[in-house]
Amino acid sequence: MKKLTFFITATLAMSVLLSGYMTWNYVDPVNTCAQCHEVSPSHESWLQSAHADVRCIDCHGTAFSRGLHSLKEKSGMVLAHWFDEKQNIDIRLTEEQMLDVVLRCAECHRAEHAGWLESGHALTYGEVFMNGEHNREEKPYADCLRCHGMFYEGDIHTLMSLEGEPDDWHIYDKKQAERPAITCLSCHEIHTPNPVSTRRTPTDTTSLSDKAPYTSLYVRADKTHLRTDLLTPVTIMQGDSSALAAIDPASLLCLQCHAPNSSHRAGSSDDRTPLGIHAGKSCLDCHSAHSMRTPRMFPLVHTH
Amino acid sequence: MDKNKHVQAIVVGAGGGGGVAAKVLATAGMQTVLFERGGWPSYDAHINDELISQRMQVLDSAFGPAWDKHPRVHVRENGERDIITAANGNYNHVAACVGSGTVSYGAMAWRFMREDFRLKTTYGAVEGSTLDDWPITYDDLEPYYSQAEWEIGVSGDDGNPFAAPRERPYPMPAFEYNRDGEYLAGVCRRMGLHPFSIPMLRNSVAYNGRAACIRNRTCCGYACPVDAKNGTQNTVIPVAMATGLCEVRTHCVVAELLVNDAGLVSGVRYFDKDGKEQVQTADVVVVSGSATETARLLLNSRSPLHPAGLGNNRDCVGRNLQGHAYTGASGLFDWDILDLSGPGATMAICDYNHHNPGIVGGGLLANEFYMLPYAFSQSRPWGEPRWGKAHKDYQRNNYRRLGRMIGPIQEMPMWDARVTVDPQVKDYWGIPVVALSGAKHPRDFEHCRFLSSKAEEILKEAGAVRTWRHTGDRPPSSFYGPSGGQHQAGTCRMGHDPATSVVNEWCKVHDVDNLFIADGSVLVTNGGFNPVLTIMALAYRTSEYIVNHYR
Amino acid sequence: MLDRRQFIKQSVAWSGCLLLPACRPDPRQRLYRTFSPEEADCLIALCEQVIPADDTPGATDAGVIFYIDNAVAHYFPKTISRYKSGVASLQAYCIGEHGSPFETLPTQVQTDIMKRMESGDLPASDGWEGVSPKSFMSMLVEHTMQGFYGPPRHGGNRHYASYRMLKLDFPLVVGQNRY
Repeated sequence: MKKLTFFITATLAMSVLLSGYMTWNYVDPVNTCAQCHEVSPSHESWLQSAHADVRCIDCHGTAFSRGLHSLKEKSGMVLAHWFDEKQNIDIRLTEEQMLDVVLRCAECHRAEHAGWLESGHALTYGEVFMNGEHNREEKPYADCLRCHGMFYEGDIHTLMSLEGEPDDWHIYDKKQAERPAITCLSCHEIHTPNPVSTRRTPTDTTSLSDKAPYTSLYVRADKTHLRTDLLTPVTIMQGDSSALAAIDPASLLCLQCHAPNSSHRAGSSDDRTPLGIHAGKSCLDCHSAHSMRTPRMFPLVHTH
Repeated sequence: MDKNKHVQAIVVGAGGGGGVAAKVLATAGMQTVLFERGGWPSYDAHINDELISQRMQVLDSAFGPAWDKHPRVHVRENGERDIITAANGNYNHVAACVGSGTVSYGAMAWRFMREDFRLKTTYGAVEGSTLDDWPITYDDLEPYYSQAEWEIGVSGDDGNPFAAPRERPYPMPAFEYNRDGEYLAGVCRRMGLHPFSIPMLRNSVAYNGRAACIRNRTCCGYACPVDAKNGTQNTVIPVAMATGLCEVRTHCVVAELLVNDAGLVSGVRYFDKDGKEQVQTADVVVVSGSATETARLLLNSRSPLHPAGLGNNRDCVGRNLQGHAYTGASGLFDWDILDLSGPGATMAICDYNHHNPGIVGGGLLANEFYMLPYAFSQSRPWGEPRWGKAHKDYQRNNYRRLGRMIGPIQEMPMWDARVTVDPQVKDYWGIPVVALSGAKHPRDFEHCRFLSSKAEEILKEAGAVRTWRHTGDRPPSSFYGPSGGQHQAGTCRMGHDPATSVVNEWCKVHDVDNLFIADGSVLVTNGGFNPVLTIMALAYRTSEYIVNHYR
Repeated sequence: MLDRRQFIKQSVAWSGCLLLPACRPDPRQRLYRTFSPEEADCLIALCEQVIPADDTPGATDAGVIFYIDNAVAHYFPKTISRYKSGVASLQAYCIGEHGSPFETLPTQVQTDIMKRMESGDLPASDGWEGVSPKSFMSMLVEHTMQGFYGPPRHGGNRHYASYRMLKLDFPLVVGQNRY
């Protein structure tokens, strides 16, 4: 009898809670999540962003969108609200949460996702860090993660064993080895402000580089995104004079990883500044933004 | 108390000296335990965070020690005792992690000059100072300098005409000058001085399976993002571990050296990472905890045969604490003299290290490591506004226009500049802490005025529109205290006479036949140079002696 | 499956969640860890005087107040009472002398008051417990510089405001030798 009463009460309570929670998910966030001080700044930036017409749950999911996993995650957030003294700046997506969001990006941005998949950026940790040829020449170090694994929570020594010979090295966690190392959120911030007037429309024919100031670089060091129009312009040197380097935000973003040596010499180290008749061109004048494909091959762009 | 399996050797402290000692002992086949009170350094724990870097330590110390667990005592001129943490300038902090200072140093790789081993002979006695000759000469140490340069990795060339002769060349080519280095080198040559590229414990080319330097700005005070800076943590300690004979025991705080009835050291008592008290025994013990912590450990190890602390029957342990006052000049230029290609210091002169009229010793001068924005906001000539629009304008207009020539001055050792253990204050584990007392020799300020005036001459000749000197001759009273800092040295002086020194010419404690010291403590005088390569070379020499006599 | 105890625990958490809106009347109240909104207003005005905005951002735009709020809570807990006493005493002085709180005074008046604090001329008879106007000022200047010129990970230097002013490429633009 006692059991039955408990069962009925539990079912009732559960259905009340469930319906309450479902309603909660569909009302204006001003009345729900954004009431919390941890969330309100993110809510404000979302309102200004290109994604203002996408609901919170479309990217962040609900407690039930991924079974027990999401239930645990969301209840953890509620408990943290009550018991941790956290502010908005303390709250970061874990790498796993980031990858969840990325999957949801792909639901709408299918073409971009397909482009990324065929690009050199769709590398997994395994492909980056278990490259035998590279490893025999040089040992991986902490700063590899600045570009290859911006969201990795740990350092190179927690990622992989570097004991013994390069052939003995291995990534500790198999799941980690299969994760992509460079994702949407490496170059985009979903909450970044993006005035409606600058949004690209399907009939828009202006160059993508003019329309792309609202990419954001994820800065691993500070665990924050920086809008690419705020990146410091870098003078690239060719001989004794400065090469005509594009300073559009998109090119500055590329330059963060495809970077020259410390004296910023064109073509040095990982630099890909276009030279000669192509000088001054934005990366996106030739490369498609996600697949990195070029409409035609210009083999000497980066050298002459 | 747990007892561990007996080993042949214990090394206490995994810094510049200890790392080398562990490598030499382990590769010679000796079962070794290397103790370190900190952990392995992690680049990702601090990245390029200026506020916790070794240079500033505003919010924390990126490489330890934990502020709350390791207090010290600073004794004021009037005898009052303040409890201090690494946040205080007069704490004389050294990093607590595997590699210690060699993780985050600027990595200048100086050999001392012949005169640096013979100061008393060269200049005569100095009143009020315990200035003395070393019991060894440059030639005794020369092969070990080479060994350090090749095994740990130094880039350099033969550009310094004042350098003492060397048998082997450097293993890597010298670094190129940065913009201010190049320009100031030209000025120095014009003045008849002898500029050259600073030898550095950094890879100018790929070396030992690790990358070449990328000229990172956040270098001095930070770990290297590409592992191109050579410390003991990424060179000799991994070699020691690869033998299978060296165990690195991190987060272990050694409290005491244990002494048996024969007056020999039998091992150490320590607290493991869980705070549990343990004992490790060994045939021979090498202490390399830095000039302050090594002295503290010896003084805290009291026994019937050594009632005042181990090796301290003649009251010598902890005395002659030295460091380096950094002196020189700054100049503002009306053009961007800095290209910010790291780490900043590339060019030096040794014209003023010795044989300056009226000066005992001297020091090198080098263009300086870059200041990051917060450090720069604290650096102003006298009388400049400290806040407001004018401060902001100075910051904005001059960040790339500040040329500096700075160097470490050869200090005059003082008997009363010393480390003792505090009778009351204890650390987290209940171990009595370091108390620092005494002051610098008045001649040091005179020498700083000399060297800074030379630096100012160079900057004026270089066309600086405004110059000022860093003389350190008007220390605010809160900075009364002995010298030390990250170049701390001298507290367990090397010498033939047990009445005035702690260790002999093999760095063995005089009256304890199996206790050695391998860090800056043994330096008789500290040179007008960064001391790390000398500490490493001595550690090679000492450990080789141990292998030959105790294996 | 959930056991009974877990079920009850989670139900409580979830119903707590539904009640959230009722217990957060003023979101500003929770914007800071250490300071009240009123104290923060005064500090924001003080910091802006230390690093004023011109054609580049100043302390307010760079979020220096969030650095200070965060730093005193985490790293300098002993300074909390000094800040609170300093702000209260300064406000009492401003209201007594000028009839309104510091942040509402004209810029020039604010500058003069701060210069007097710096030189030790400001009367410290009322309040100023545990902190003198001079030491309050030097603490404020030091922390403002840290918040503005330190890295953004501690709450200040929003969008690398100071690094951009100095034209420092942060993050460092430097290649790794091969790609």
